[in-house]
This record gives sequence, structure tokens and C-alpha cells, in this order.
Amino acid sequence: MHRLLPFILAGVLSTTGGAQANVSPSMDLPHQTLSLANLTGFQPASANWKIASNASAERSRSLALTSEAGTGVLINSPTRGAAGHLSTNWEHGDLDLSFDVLLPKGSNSGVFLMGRYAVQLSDSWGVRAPTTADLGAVDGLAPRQNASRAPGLWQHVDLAFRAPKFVGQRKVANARFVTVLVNNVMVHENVEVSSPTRTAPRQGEGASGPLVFEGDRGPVAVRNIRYKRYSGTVALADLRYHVFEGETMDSSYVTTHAPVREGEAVALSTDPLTVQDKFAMSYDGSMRVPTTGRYRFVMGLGWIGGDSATRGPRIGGGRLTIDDRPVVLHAGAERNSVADVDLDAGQHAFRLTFYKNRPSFNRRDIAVWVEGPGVERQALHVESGPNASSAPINPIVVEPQREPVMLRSFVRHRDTKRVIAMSVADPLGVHYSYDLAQGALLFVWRGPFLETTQMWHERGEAQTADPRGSTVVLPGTPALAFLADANAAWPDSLVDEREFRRDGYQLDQTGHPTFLFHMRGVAVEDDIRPAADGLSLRRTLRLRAPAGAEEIRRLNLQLAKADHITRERDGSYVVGDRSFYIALGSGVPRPVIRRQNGQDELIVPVRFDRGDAGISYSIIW
Amino acid sequence: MIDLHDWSRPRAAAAKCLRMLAGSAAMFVGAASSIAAQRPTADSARGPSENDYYRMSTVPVPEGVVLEVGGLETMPDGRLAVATRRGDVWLVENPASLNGGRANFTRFAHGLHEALGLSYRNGALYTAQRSELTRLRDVDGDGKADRYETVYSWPLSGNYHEYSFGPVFSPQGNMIVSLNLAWVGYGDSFVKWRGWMLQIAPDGKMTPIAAGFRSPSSFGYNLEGDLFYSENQGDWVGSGGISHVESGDFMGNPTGLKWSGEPESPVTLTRADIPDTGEPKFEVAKRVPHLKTPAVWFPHAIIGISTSAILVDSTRGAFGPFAGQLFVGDQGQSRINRVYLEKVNGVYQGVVFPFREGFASGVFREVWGKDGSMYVGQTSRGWSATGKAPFGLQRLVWTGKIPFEAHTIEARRNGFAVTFTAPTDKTASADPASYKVTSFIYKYHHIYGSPVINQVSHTIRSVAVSPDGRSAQLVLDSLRQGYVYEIKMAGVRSETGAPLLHDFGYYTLNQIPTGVGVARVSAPATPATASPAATVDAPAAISAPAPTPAPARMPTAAVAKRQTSMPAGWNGKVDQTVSVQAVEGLAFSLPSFDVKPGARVRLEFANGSDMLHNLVIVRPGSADRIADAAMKLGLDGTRLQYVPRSADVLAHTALLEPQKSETIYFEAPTTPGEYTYICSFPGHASLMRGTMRVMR
Repeated sequence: MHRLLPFILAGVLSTTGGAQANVSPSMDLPHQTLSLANLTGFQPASANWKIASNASAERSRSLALTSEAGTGVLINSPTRGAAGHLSTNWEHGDLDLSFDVLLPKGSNSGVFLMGRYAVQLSDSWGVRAPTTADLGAVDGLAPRQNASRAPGLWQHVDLAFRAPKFVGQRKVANARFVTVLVNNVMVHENVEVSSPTRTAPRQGEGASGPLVFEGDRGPVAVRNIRYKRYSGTVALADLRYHVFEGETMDSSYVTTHAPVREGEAVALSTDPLTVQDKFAMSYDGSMRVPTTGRYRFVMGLGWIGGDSATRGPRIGGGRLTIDDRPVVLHAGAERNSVADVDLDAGQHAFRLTFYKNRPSFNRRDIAVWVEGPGVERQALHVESGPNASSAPINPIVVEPQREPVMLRSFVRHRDTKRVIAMSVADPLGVHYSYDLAQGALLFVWRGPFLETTQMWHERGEAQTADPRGSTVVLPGTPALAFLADANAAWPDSLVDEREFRRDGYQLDQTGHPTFLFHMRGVAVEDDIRPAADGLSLRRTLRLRAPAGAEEIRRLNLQLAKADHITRERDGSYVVGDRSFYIALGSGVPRPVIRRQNGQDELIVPVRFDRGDAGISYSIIW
Repeated sequence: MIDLHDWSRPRAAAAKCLRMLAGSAAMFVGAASSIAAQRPTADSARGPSENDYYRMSTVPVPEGVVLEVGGLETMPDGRLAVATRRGDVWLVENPASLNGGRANFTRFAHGLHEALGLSYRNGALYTAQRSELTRLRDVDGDGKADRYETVYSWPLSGNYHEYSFGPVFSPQGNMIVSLNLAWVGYGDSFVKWRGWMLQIAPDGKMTPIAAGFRSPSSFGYNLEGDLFYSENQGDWVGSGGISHVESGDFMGNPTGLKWSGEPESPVTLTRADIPDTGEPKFEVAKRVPHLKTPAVWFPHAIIGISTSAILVDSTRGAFGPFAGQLFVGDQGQSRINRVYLEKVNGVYQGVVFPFREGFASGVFREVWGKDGSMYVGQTSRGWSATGKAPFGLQRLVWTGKIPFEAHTIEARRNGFAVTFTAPTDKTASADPASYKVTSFIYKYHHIYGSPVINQVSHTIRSVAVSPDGRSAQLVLDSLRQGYVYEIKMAGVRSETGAPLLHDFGYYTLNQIPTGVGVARVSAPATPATASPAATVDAPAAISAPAPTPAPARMPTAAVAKRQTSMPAGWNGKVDQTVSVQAVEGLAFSLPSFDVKPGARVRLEFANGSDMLHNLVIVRPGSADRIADAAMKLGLDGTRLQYVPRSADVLAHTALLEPQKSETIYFEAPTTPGEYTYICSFPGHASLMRGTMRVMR
């Protein structure tokens, strides 16, 4: 999912805060965790709720949720006699919430924000046109896309909810889902709900309510429940600015020189400047914080950038001081500087200084963000300067119509850019990205196909095509490799042309490509296409060895590589943190799971018969 | 009568009639936005226009098809094949919309990574993608490629500027591709063979041909079977042009020499062998063997800004009177120039003339249709062009009328011989005052582009006109080997009194012929000694200044228009400092700034883009006039920083190379109002402008 974030999120985080303050590498304060060691975080629970561990479900068995004794996972197993909802023993208004959910086949459940506003949790595997009943739907509004995974896999929901607002008895703002993400793709953004869901335990609107997990429908497992509740804001008052201009700026300029200009302000900005470079500014005022506790400040200087030419004290820096204590010391090393400070509720003296010493990035914008106990991360600045009003770029997307679509591009995979890559879309809505230079799958996903704005807008300097759906990230290592022995490491990449020579690809009558390559003289056809039901991607490798090639006995296929791989009762394999399944095609010998460098690898040897070999498996998610 | 033989294919029997080379791509970088035309196209009521001789029409493109042309080829059956930057290959049947019909588009292939070339051979189409040379075949005969075969692959670092161009088939049947440098504020070769031209045999065997390329988007053969490529202004390239490529050549940008130690390399030079002195390239080439200078320089901003497609006129008359000459595109100026080459002392050199302007988008590819008309494939994405359409496919058809043009210019021992496409009025063509000749050259250095240097105005000692009035031989006071000669022929008239359709050309004098002298016939011109042009920053006058409005009062005359140190009279005190950057996308970082009337202003101007820019503050209402005047400075442009001499110019910086900066000092006008600042480099001013508000 391509999201345009404020610059401050794009910058590399730094730990250059003052020595006096606590330092964190993240922009965000940690979430609170709802303990699942037991049920004490909840109001008294009916018998359908329990705490367990290792929840699982087989993807083909309806409504069958299993678990083991332990902690960390909340299980709902409703029965005719016990099917109550489960409410937290706290209430909330504005709330950020994330959790993992595992649903058995055919099940559905939900979460009621404030006991009133439902988010659907349901097994929506394979649904092509999601409705208000599907995973990620909020009351009355279907998700933008079906980002769901197969039953029995852990899925992730992440949302920001804002409570309705009242003045006296009069509602002045509807409840609002700022964002809802399912498996890391946005399915709602800024949608309002004007009344509680019809089936909600609480009817009638109010300023707060408990978080309620629905108990009277299907079995469900939930874990990693993290949240932040918000109730107050930080306010600046009595702000005065001073502007300094000169030839050589540094962090002490504002204390050693006279300002060229000063005035009053209502928010932090660089609007009072008349120059783009070579300036310093200070802001002085008072800051009121609503609650005693730990606050996190982020200072961003738009002219500090990611490479050495646009970093360092020669370019700029700044300082945030509260009650004469330095809190953030921005040394100009990275765009953003982060620091924590413990503050008592009430008024504090606030002072911000910053400087820019030479042209850089064509920017002079600043940002100061604060987050605290009950305080959502808020901007103390206003957007200004030439970046505040740049025209939006029309997105460019690619979607299949009646036939498969191929597109070669650079592809961002984990931390690297794969430069000889192709993404393939199927009209069934099942897609993948593939490294042509390695014979390696990079991603599989369902839903919308690609955004190509970064490739086709102007020069397309990133030259990447970005999946629009929820991707299952695969290792990106070569599928096939010659292993000298059973313990030989699997190669990360194949560089030498004898090890891997790509020949191109051929299309069949339906337009599906089969990739062709040679490895030590062995001709390989790599045929990847979705199953007709759109639920899985089937990969078939057909190999032909030259006569007398001895080393083909050492050729292996790596089906998966992850922290953990386990075999399911039905003979398929579940990979990672119940992330996806691998199912073997008929006639494939039983693979081995070997542990290499802290990871499990699912490997099967390639067996040739009179020079030919064939092997197939499916990725199911 | 037009001979309808297949113009676009080689004739096996005629070795000299080599195939047309689908003009291969040129770009990418350096093409800023561009210049408007050298001169407005006259409408027919006022005089002949290019369109009277070469009629332009547009191939209708179906809505939704983004035809950003990267490669163009004519198929044996007359269909056009078009590769696009978005990776499609389209087949266009009836591209000329003959018989009252309409061009029909079908998609042959898709999903390629920025395909920047296309050639047909033996039932297959070949194209260069970023990472490989690919053969596209339709095996099952359904009109769509079902085999995408990697013929040869090369590595990429992942930089967007690593474009790959081609292929063009050599007379021997090998495929030629060229590989751009990466762009990281300068050209760099991060992976093998970036900045090289490669030859790939049909069996996939690769042989490097030559090194030193920067942005070699296009290349093709002349009728003699010699290979030429077009280069764009940039680092180590003072101006665009075309060069003859032979195995073992080093074309000039040394970055790619890091691979000259590879066993396959025919080039032995190393980076350390290349001096960075700013001398003219031909001077350096005297000391550095295999350093190749252009066969024809295309003076930057005057006749183009981003040289592209090269197409030899193999139509044997179907396209008019220029058989054997080259038609060379320009992406940024949406135009095609015409080149006549000769070989002197075994070295190619020749002249470039304007030919046809006014294309819809950036000219990138040229190919002959079966009837001898020219198809021109265009794109301007990422490199804006004079033609504002994002892409285009157009056709040029010779109307059968002969334009009155200089047909050729050749070097002589003591001057130049010009031939014309029609008899001239001999009184005019024999008059030395009908001509004006200036020579100059560029610097060879790591810096992006070059000013015009060593400029000399020549005296024409005599002109001899042939009895039929079709040729004139100019004897000059002197010739300077290695220099570019601007030859203006404004006074030449046809027998009916018409001026030349294009009255100037630029001849690159790599070699001075011996033996062929020019007889002195006409009376010598008024003697005048050649003298170096002034090198001071005194701007040239605008020849026809528009009436200026009542001048805004400037507080003092003491401050020069380009004052780079603080005037002494300011006593070290500046009222206001303003910083402006030129940024990517032809823009200033500040859309406006405010100054007080009469304020002493210090303006810091930094060029943060990859093109040349200045900043010129002008009087209200004069920006377009100044931009137009700057465009007309021609050869004098770089010397004058593209700042015309005009009372409308209040203050200006120098023309800055990328990543350079300059600070100027000026006193703001005392009259409040909105004063425009522009970049007056040709073609930039329409986008690069801002407002200096003078307000109390």
C-alpha cells in the first residue's frame, strides 16, 4: 500500500536527543498492552472465553479452532449455553488499536469500539467483491479491498478510531475511523459512522465505552492487543518569535546576535522568514500539558537529509528547551531528532531554536511533534514554505482486465531493490513478483495489482512498481540450487552465468508466462499461475538435464524459508508465524525441514528420470 | 513519380544501400525544456514555410494508449511497430490512414522495462530493455508475442538513468546497443559496460565496441555503412552532436573507462589518461589517442538541446532532394535537423542545418515508411520539450516541391563551398555581405556543458558563384582546424528573390582539405581582421527593442547589473538577503519574495538542478520580451550568460552550471510593483519565473 506520509515519517529516526532526556529510536511512544496472561483485564467473562496459547485452525475444517494450554492468546469458543461478549474493564474514547486475529474456516466475529461501532472479523478468504460482512468492514461500509488471508493464519488489524464529540447533550462530531488497515493495507480512511451498529451491545451514543469482543457468533483467536487512548492535547501560548539572518549560522547564533525581526505567533512555523537559507529562529512561550507523565518530542528540520551532503552541523540544527532543560538537541545528523521527557501536568516554559546555514533540499520547513500520556501525536507547527502547497501527483495504476498482465520494473523487496524483476497479474486477482535473475518469487498477493507512479511519473527516479494489495513476503532466494551436501548453505543469489542464465519467458494461449532459465546446463521451465479458485498460486518446475550430468543429483528445490516451518495434519506446511501454507503437488517426495542460520528451510531434492524432472507446489494464503 | 520500392529495408544486392536505422534513442538528460523556434514559421500568405515542403500530419492514437515512443520500426508489410517507455509494443496498420481509413493499433507485446529501441529482423522484433536485449516472437501466429527471449543481459545498479538503447542491426547482421551512464549529480558507471556501446551477435556473443559514452540515446548508419551516434550536452560534453563510432574509440566521458581493463575491451585508455583542463576536445585529442571528437557539433540551445534519432535519407528522392543526408532529431526542441557529411583526410565532418520544427512532443525516433515518408516517434516525459504534448507519433511527407535551401557545405583549403537546391540570384550570392562566418569551440571538462569559447568573426575575402548559380565558394581570411563554423547566408536569394528557407548552418572543421582551393572571383570584401570576440560581460543589444514603458526609477546607477561583490558604497550593510535555488522540473524554489523600495539586496542563487540556469530580474511586463531576446542571442548566448542588453534587465546572475551558486547585490527599484525574475536560458522562462514584490 502506497501511503503518502508527512515528511517527518519519511525521515530516518535518530537518537540525538539530549543527554538529560530519555531517548528512543521510534517516533511513537510504546502502546499499552492488554495483558492476556489471564482475563483480569476484562469484565467478568462468560464461559466461552479463555486464555490459551498456540491457536491454530486447519484451513479446510469449518469452525474448528484448536489451542494449547498457556497464555498470550484470547480464545472465544461460543456454545449454545455460553456466548457472551467480552468487555475490557476500562473505557475509551479516541483509541488507536491493533491486534492479531486467527479465524477458522467459515467463522466470523467482531470488535465493537466503545461497545458500539463494529469492525468485522470474518473468514473472507477468496471473496472477490467484499461486502459489509467481510473482514475489515466497519458498520455499513465494505472494505476497499479484501486483504484477508486463509483461515488458520494469523492476520493483523490496525485502526485509529475517534469517538463522537458532544457539547452538552448535542453531538458535534460523528464517530470516525481515521484508518483501518487489514494485513498492512488500508481498507478505510476517514470514514464516519453516525450511529452505533444495530447489533452492538451498547445503543445510544456517548463519549466513551469499553472495547468489546463479540462472543455470540463464531470462534476466534486474538492476541497482541495493543492500544493507546487519547483524551487531551498539548497547547502552546504566548508565543514570540525572533528571526536572525547572517553569513554564518550555528546553534549559538540566537544567543550571540540581535534578531532582525520579532513578533507574535500562534504556532511554530518558518513563515516569518524572508530568506530560504542562512537563518536562525527562536520561539519562546508557554506550553500546557494535560497529564503528568512521559512525553515524546520529535523535531524535524526539512533541510536535513539522508546523505552526507545534506547532513551535519554545517547545514543546520536546533534545540528544544522546556523549563530551561534541553530536551531535544538536534545536531543536524538526520532529518528528525527524537527525545522523551517526563513532565508534570500544567504550564511549562517552552523555547525552540533552530538554524540553517546553507542551501539544502530547497527547504526551510520545520516540524515539532509531541505525544504523551493520553495525548495523540500532535503537530505544534503549521506547514509552511514551498512544500506546503505542492500539487498532488495523479497516481498511475495497472490492473488486469481479461488477460494476465506482466510488468517488468524495479521491485522493492525487504531492504533491497530487485532490478531485474517482473510482476504478473491474473484476472482472478492473484498476483506475484518474481526476480528474473534468480528464479525467485518475491511476493504473492491478492486484490489490486500495481501502482506505477514511482516508475511512470516524470523520470520515475525510483523506477519501482509497488503492489497495491497485502503481500506475503517470500525470501527472494533462488528456488533451485546445487548443494554440495545436506548441510551446505542455500545461496542468497546466483551471480555466475553458468549457475543461472535467464533465457526469457514464453506465454501460453491464456497469456500466462513460463520463465525459462539454465542452471549448469539444466534447462528449467518455471510455471507459476493461480489455481482456478483464486485461493493459491501453483508453481510447477519442469527440468531437463543434459545427458550424463552427474551433479543434477545435488539439485534441490527450496519451498520455503522462515523462522519456523511446521507440518500440518493434512500434510501441508505452515510457514512462519502461521503466515501462509505450502502444499505439495502429487508425486513430490516428502521434503525435509532443515535449520540453517536460525531459520527453517523446507527443501526437496529434484529427482530426474531419464533426464527429466517435474515438481510442483502451491502457496496458499 | 515516386518509386514505391521498400525504402525501409536493406537491399541484399546493394551493399551501399544500407537499411535505415530506426533512429535510436538519444536522451536522456540535458534536454531541458526548450527553445521555441529559431524563427516563427511563416504562414503561407507571408512566405514559404517548412510545411509547404514537408507536410506534418499526426497518427491518431486511441484514447488510453500512452504512446511514449521509445522505439520505432517499419515492418516488411508496411505496419509500424512502436515500442514505448511504458513497455508496450504496438503494431500500427495503415499508419498513414490511407484510403480514407484510419490507423489501427494492436498490442504485440507488453510489460517490457522502458523499451528504448526496436528493430525487425527475420520475423522477430528486437528491443533493448533496461537490463537486456530481448527478442520478441509470435510463434502461434495470433499477432501477439508469445516468446520474450533474452538475447544478452547486462547488470544494473538500480539508477533510473541507466537507460539502454537499441538495437540497430549492423551491415554484418550484428546488433548494436548503447548503455547510458547512471546520473547521481554527475554521470557514473556503477556496473559493467555503462557508458559503452556493445555489439551482440545473433548467437548472443557480446563484443564491446567503444567507450566514453554519456547519454547515447541514438545511433545509426550512413549509406556507406559507417556508424554514428548522437550525444547530449553534459559532463565532458560541451554541446550535443553526432560522432563516428569505430571499434576502440573513446568518445569522451571517462567514467566508463573503469571497465577498459576487462579482457574483452578494445579500449586501453584509463581514467588517468584523460586530462580535465577545459581545453577544446580536439586539442586534447592530439595528445590522447583514440579520443574521438564529434563529426558534427550541434551548438547547444541554438540548433538543439538533446540530440536524438539519426536516420539516413535512403529514399533516393522520395523524401526530396537530400538523398544520403542524415536527419537528426532533437528531443527538447521538438525538431529535426539535417546533416551533410563529407570525409576529409579520412575523417568525417560536415554541417548541420535546421530542417523541420514544430513537432507535437519531444522528437526521439525516426523511421521511413514504405512510401518514403518519415514517421517521427515522440516523448517528453521527464524531459520537457517545446512540443507540449506528452507523446506523439507524426508523419512528414515531402510535398514534391523543392525548398530553397543550402543543400551542402563542404570544406575547401581556404574556405567553404556551399551548394543550393535551386539556382541563386548570382548578384546576391556572389556578394560577401550576403554571408557572415564565425568560428568557435567548446571546453572539454568534467563540468556540465560549456560556454562558447575562442569565438572569432571571419572576413569573407571573396565569393565565387558557379555559372548555374547553384553553388558558391567562400574564401575566408583564415581557417582553424577543429573549430565549429557558423555560416550565415541571410543575403542569399533565389532567382525569384526568395530567401533561403533556413539561412544558416554549422560546419565542424575537423580537417582542412589540401589541394582543393577556391578561385577568387568576386571582389574582396571590406577588409576586416579576424579578432577574438570580446570576452567581457557586456551584454549585446537587442536588435529591435520593444518600446519600453516609462522606466521605473532605480535609486542609483552605481550598481552594475551583475554585481558579485558588495558595492563599496554600501559600507558593508545589506538590508535584505534572499536565497533562491533552481530546482528540478524547471522551477525556482521561491515563487515570490518581497523587498522594500530601494533596499540593498543580497541575492544568493544556487543551481540545484541538472541543467544550466541564471536568474534575471526584469521590469514589470517585460519578461516575455527579454526571454525572446535571450533566445535570439544565438551563438553569443553563453558568452552573455543569455542576458540581452536591455534597460528592462535590472539585475542578473551568471549562467550557472549544476550545483554552482553565485551571490549578486542590487538595489531594489524605488517604484513599488511586481517585478518578474526569470531564467533566460532558451526555453526555460515560460516555467522558470517568479515575482519580486517591491512593497513598502
